[in-house]
Amino acid sequence: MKRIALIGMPNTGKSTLFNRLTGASARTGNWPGVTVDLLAAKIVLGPDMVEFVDLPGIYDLHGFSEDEQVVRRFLENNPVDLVCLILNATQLDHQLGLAVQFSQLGCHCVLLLNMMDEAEQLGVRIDTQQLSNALKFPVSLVSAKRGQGYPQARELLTKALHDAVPCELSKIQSKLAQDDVVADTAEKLMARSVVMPIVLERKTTERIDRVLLHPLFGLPLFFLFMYLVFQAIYMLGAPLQDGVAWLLDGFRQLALEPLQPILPAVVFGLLVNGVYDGIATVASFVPVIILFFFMMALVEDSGYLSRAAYLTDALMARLGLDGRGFVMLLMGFGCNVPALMGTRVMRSRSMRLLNMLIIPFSLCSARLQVFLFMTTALFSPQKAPIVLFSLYLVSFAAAFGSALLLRGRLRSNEPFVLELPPYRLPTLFQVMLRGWHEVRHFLRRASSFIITGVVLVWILTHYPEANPPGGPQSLAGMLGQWLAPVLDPIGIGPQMAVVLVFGFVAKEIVLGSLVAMTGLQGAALVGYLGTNMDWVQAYSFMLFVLLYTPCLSTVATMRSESKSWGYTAFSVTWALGLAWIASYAFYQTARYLGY
Amino acid sequence: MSTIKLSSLQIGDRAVIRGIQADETIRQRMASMGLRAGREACIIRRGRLGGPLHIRIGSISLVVRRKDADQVDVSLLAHREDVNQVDVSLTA
Ligand SMILES: Nc1nc2c(ncn2[C@@H]2O[C@H](COP(=O)(O)OP(=O)(O)OP(=O)(O)O)[C@@H](O)[C@H]2O)c(=O)[nH]1
Ligand SMILES: [Mg+2]
Repeated sequence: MKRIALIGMPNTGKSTLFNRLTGASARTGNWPGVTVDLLAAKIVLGPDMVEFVDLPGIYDLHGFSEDEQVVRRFLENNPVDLVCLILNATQLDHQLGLAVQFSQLGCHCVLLLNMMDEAEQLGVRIDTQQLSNALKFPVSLVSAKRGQGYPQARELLTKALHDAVPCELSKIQSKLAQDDVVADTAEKLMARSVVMPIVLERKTTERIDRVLLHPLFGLPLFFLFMYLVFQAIYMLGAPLQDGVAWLLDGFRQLALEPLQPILPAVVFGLLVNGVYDGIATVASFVPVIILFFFMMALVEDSGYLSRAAYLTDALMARLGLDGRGFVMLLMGFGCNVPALMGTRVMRSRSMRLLNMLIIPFSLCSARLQVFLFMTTALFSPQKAPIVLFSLYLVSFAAAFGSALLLRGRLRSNEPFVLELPPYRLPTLFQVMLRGWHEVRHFLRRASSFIITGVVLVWILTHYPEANPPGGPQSLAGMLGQWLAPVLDPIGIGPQMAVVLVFGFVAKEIVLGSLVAMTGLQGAALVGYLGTNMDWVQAYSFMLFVLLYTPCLSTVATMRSESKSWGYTAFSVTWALGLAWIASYAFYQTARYLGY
Repeated sequence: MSTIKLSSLQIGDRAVIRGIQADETIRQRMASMGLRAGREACIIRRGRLGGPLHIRIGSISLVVRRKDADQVDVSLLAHREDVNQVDVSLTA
């Protein structure tokens, strides 16, 4: 099988093109460093079966950061038949050097100048023939996002692949010319083949920046937008969630309840009251999560993330981090795992480690489900959104506070230089793709550890004695008794212990196992929670869930990214300790104040 | 022409980058991101409270932390006020 590698600077549209070529759903976004690992997909191109490999962006072939090393290692260890080089057609004055470097390596290349739609709009004119003659490989303009020039580009790849021979790119460093020579060649080439307007005006972007990066209002506006986004999710999400809950309940009544007389009580209890109800409750949140990721896709593709980095860098510098670290916290609101991996763009190991320590405090979408459920169960409709928002504030406070305490041990002198891309709007397709991605992600989680967790909790709360489920006679109850000395002071009852223990695996299990344990769901579960917990206990419980280890995948990622068990253990301990202290402080203070 | 620091430029100033006073890897990194000797930079805005600079170099827009901009030597081409009189052929 033949192999084509997609290579280019960050944020040039490699993953967008990869998706168009292969029908895959790689994550894209208007932020340099979305892709940090390699991703491969196979398609038939002309007569051949071809493997396309999407790689992280590289600024040049000397790259030192973790994501750039992924590319170097890949190129040096895997034979590649064809390199598909992707440059941003509107930024050739900066990017042509990379093409020059590749022409020196002497491997088979096709150069695609992406974003031809923007180039046309800006009045950039490119003589592709001239470029092709000088670089000695085929060159074509394309728009990966809108599809202009795509058939020709695909044709070009097919043809080039046909007469390509695999080349081994070992010892890349030694084959490259001096940097200034490369820059010189690129500049001459640029002068001959590209006409750029003297001032490349991006009027819309500049106009928006004048407001969003305003010296006084920039930051308040940013937080206002965040608040509005969460309000929107809350308001639009609730009816959607009710709708799905209604559907799932309908299925239960029509298809599952008739089985009750047929099946043995234990089996029915486990399968319907345990697994089905548990998963259904978690699943009812899927629309909210999809909505959430639609919003994320919009924000990530807009280019606002880089602006957020600009606005917060001064603050983050005081915490020993930089603006990119703040963006990773924001990405963590979706899921902590990609955010942890996103820190690969940082070259300094200590900055990465510091950043990775605080990302788990980001209130991810799995925790959001738990909090949506609990806040609606225990607080009035007016108060619930405020309570939820306060949890987001706690999430930031925990992250910033931890960085402040630990920055002394993890110092770095990483320079902070970041590109601000123009504002862009994602296509409907891109947003849908992201939503679909999340559904698939959820289904994979649900079918593996969410089910397992819920089943285990059901067994633990029902054996050897289920009267009441999770009571002192059951295994879960015994666990609760045993943990009571630590859970009592933070107001968490013994029947919740098992929930927290399994919540360590994934936060969705918290919700699912509440259902499985009580055998109640929907309004009945809400009522149960309302009578078994007061708001102080509930908030203390939520604080604990927010701050202690997010999930097993996070721990695993932490370990694989840091390559250190000691660091991983520290991170878990730190989070657990902070969670307990925060809950303790809150619970005891509230009780002391008479609530 | 005398060189000054990139970080000392005011909004609207235009200057040519002369060099970066940093070790090789950092210089390399900054060059590959667009801060390369010979290029012309224009200051668009300066962040408040010691926040980063927002500059334009050719077709790209960069954010550079002030501490790092301290390491970049530039020579001034034009202040904001006399932008109109600058010969466009100066564009490097
Ligand atoms: N206008 C326009 N935008 C595009 C085009 N191709 C990609 N984009 C946008 O450019 C941004 C970056 O796209 P990605 O595909 O994530 O870029 P990448 O090269 O994979 O980036 P990294 O993985 O970070 O290296 C996204 O916002 C895309 O929607 C295009 O042809 N025209
Ligand atoms: Mg990508």
